[in-house]
Amino acid sequence: MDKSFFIKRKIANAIIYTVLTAIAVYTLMPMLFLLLNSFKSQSEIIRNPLAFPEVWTTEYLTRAFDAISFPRALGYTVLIAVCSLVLIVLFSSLCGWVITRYKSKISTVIYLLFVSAMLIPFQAVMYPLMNMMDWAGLKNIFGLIIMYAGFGLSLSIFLYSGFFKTIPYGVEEAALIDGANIFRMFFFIVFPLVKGITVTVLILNGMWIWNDYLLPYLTLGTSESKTLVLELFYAKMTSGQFGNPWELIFPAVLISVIPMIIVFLFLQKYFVKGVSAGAIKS
Amino acid sequence: MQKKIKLKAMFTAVFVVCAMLSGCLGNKPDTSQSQAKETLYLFNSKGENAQQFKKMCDDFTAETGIPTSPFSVGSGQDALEPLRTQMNSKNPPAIFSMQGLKELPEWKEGGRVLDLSTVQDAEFKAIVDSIPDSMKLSADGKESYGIPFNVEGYGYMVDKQMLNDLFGEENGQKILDELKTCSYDDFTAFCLAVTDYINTSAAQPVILNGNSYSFNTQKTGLAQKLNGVFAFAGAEKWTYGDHLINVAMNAVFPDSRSAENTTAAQVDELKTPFVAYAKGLDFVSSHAAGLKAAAKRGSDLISQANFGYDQSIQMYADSNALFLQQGNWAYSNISKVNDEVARRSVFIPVKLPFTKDMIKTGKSVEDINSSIPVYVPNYYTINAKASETAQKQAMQFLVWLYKPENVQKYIVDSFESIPFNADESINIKNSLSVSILEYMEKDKILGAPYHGAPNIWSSEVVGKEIMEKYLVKENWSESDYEAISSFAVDQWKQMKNIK
Amino acid sequence: MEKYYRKWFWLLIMPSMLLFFFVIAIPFIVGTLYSFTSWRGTYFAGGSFLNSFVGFGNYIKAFSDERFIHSLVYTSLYTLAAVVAINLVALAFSLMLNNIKKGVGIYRTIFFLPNMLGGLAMGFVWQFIFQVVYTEILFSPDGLFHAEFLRYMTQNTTKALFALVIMTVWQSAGYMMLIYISGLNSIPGDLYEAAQIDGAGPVRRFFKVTLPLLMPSVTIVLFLTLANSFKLLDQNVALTNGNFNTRLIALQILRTVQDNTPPDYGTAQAQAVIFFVIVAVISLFQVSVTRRKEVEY
Repeated sequence: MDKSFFIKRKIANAIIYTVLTAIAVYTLMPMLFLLLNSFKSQSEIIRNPLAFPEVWTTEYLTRAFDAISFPRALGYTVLIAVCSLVLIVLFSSLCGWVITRYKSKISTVIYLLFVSAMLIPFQAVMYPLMNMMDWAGLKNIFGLIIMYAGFGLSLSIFLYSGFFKTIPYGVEEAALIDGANIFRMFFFIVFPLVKGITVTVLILNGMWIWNDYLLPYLTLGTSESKTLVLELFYAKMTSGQFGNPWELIFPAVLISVIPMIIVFLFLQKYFVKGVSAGAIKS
Repeated sequence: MQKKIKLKAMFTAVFVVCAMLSGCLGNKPDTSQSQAKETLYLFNSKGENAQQFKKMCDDFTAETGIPTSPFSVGSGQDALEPLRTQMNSKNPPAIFSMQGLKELPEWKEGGRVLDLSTVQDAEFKAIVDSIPDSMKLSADGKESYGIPFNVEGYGYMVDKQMLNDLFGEENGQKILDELKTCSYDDFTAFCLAVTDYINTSAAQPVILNGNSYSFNTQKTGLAQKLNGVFAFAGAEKWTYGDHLINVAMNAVFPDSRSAENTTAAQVDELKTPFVAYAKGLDFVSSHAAGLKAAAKRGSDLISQANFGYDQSIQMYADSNALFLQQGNWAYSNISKVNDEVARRSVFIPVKLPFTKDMIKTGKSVEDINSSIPVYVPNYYTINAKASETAQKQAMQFLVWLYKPENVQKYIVDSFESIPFNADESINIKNSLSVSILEYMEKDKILGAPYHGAPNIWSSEVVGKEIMEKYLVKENWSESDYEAISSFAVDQWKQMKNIK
Repeated sequence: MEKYYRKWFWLLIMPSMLLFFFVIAIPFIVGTLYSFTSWRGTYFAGGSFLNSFVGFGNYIKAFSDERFIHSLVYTSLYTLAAVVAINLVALAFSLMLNNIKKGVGIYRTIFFLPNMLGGLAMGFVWQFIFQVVYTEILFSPDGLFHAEFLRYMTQNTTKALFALVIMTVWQSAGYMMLIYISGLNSIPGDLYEAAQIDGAGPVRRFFKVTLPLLMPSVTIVLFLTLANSFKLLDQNVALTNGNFNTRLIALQILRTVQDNTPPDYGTAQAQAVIFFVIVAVISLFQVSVTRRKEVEY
């Protein structure tokens, strides 16, 4: 290829990087705000939200760390998130796969059922759902996991079935001829091909489970086993009838988000342009 | 085939692990202990006391052997949704709480709330009978559905040291006493003089109740930080929608029950007090302090980032403002910013330009302008659908709580609130609570008729109208006063007719 | 093959279906039944379910409530703006990231970050941004540049709509970007090479190769933004809390309960059902249209 192509490419790259950096700065602004205010007292936050802290002290961070019982709450949150995610990925990948592969009216109906489930406002099912959970003796962590799995399925099936479509049948046929059974074929051949989307499913579901407030509140309430978000609401609640203890909220939100950032950084290496058609066809 | 088994095993394993983990960690109060004695479920909507409330329940369990399970929600948020889900559950709370008359119809209609006046148990009956008529949770005055959690009161808070710094050590206390009883005109003249003093470091002496006081010739101490008279939270509709308008409503209704059982004609009588309210609000909102400099009425005054609750607390605690219209609940917020200020703060009454003809309750203008609203924000109620045993235990709990030593120990010391039956034997330290007690002792108290107004009328309808249409305007005219007043009256009648 | 999949079909969808029925379908059916009664949350006015049956009464009540109609219109307008904005931004993010090699991970993380933040802090941050940063610092008469439209955005019905769009684009563009990235990653690289050898320029390549193959992602992202926009609640509460006529439908449903004593859950439930039907019709139509444009192997 000729030289002008590389020059053009370089200019294009420079433009892209400039734009990306500009947007990154814009996106980071509110985050910086959060970071900055995690080191400030209530008065400093109220008076000068944009200013740098008068003294850089970790006092508020450590206080928030204790106030939300971070290690314990993290344990519960991770437990709930991991269990729910395992169920979600397992169930929805299988379901999404088979309804894309088996083309029939019933597949379409099931697909649409799950899709439309995403449109139901939570308030519309809240009371009946809670009554059922209570009736089944599931107003506990186990019930919470089941509910998350149930609510998380729709989006995941939607995502999986969208992407299974882009994977050719060929491999599956070949595997069958080789005598693999359906689970072996799915988990060892098909599933690895959609790693990228599995990671997406994990991240998207993990995030709302991590940050969700209403479900754990209604099921776990003010019991000992509180999730991170619940601990934060509890700490806010006990700090006074009106007003917000920002000197607690900002550092607590910051602390709670760090594990998620770590997980995200770890998971995102699976976003690779891996699925080359060549590999599949052969 | 083998692979299939493997997979099945995997499925089962996941389930078993989940089940085990949740079995270990999940809360399981209902199964283990329920056989011997029933667990007493309590729903507490004063969430700020959650920890202390839990401690109290544990103490009760230790003394009586009755297992307890409290559930707390914050009163700042909507406590009703979680209460309803709790009510629907297999183990509904036997004791729950209600924030006044507005919530009564729901539970009465659903048959969930016990009429305590029908209870025979002597000890419990004694408590029910000791509730003053004005504090009864009752639409008709005969029934009685709740036992007051505590009482709260509000007015303009003022820092005693600030008055000392404005008028000299020798006059601070005198000024404070004058402010408690002075007329609306004296009060506004006083505020205008303070404004002058802030702006020019000099002002004419103020005349309160006929006595003249002069400002310090030089701004000293806290006075140097003042930039306005009122710490005004324009973004908080409830401060003027609920609390300020409640003072005006006291001209016609002495308590929430009379407001609840009102006639259209009586609502019409509110027209003139509401004009007085609008004038009063006009004055307050045009002499507001700010975080950095005096505030101007306009779009900025209703922005949450500048004039929310936290900001108004900050202005007051940092001595930017002389007065803050809030209640004793704000003590902890102020104390977090500046504990000294919190401990020096006392209430003076919220005053409005009433005239004699506006008042229909038999009180005088002077009475109202020297009284502060003191009322029950929350009641303990008993679930009529709980089992017989649970109801018995609930009563036992309340009897236990209202033993004099426990009142002091829990309601006063632990919750830092004022018991409804407070008398001299009670030892309260919190300065704002002490201030409220003084008004109670002198019987200079007003009711909370806004609790009897149509649901959401005060804050969400009137408060909202004022915020969206008036606080954003720099100048208000006589016709604006009229418009605010008519709007409030018309909406009330309209909302009442619908139901 | 068909036969083979059919054999396993029911077994494979069973766990999902069970969860679906237990957690979503049954509660929603029960909730729909409640919408035909004067249900009050903890009891039926009139005693029993049958005695409080009001037929379509709640639906009529919902449609004759101005505030409900207004919130429907307002939500539709918001959704229109948000869907377009979020999609374009998310697509732009993913295309740009797809074209660079260094620092992809960092940018991706940064763009995704806003999603991870819980709601409690964000209300404060955004109110501060609109009420102080926009109003007093950036766009005031003596700010960066004077733009009255960008000031006091939380105090006006129209402006608040755009404020909400600004906030939700910031929050969810990174989220949707992930889905587009997954989509772009699954496009076989050799197709580009082939197109390049045929002499197709970048624009042509985008429309002839990328876009058609990205259609599954487009379907998903369009649907998700549509659904999320229609259901938006937290951000609405955080920014304006419904003041200045800015109630979106979800908040309206919530307030229908709070605005009445005893709480009118029957009507709120009817509003939720109406809302569900409207959104379902629109988005299922959207899904079937965009799905038809997808290419399958």
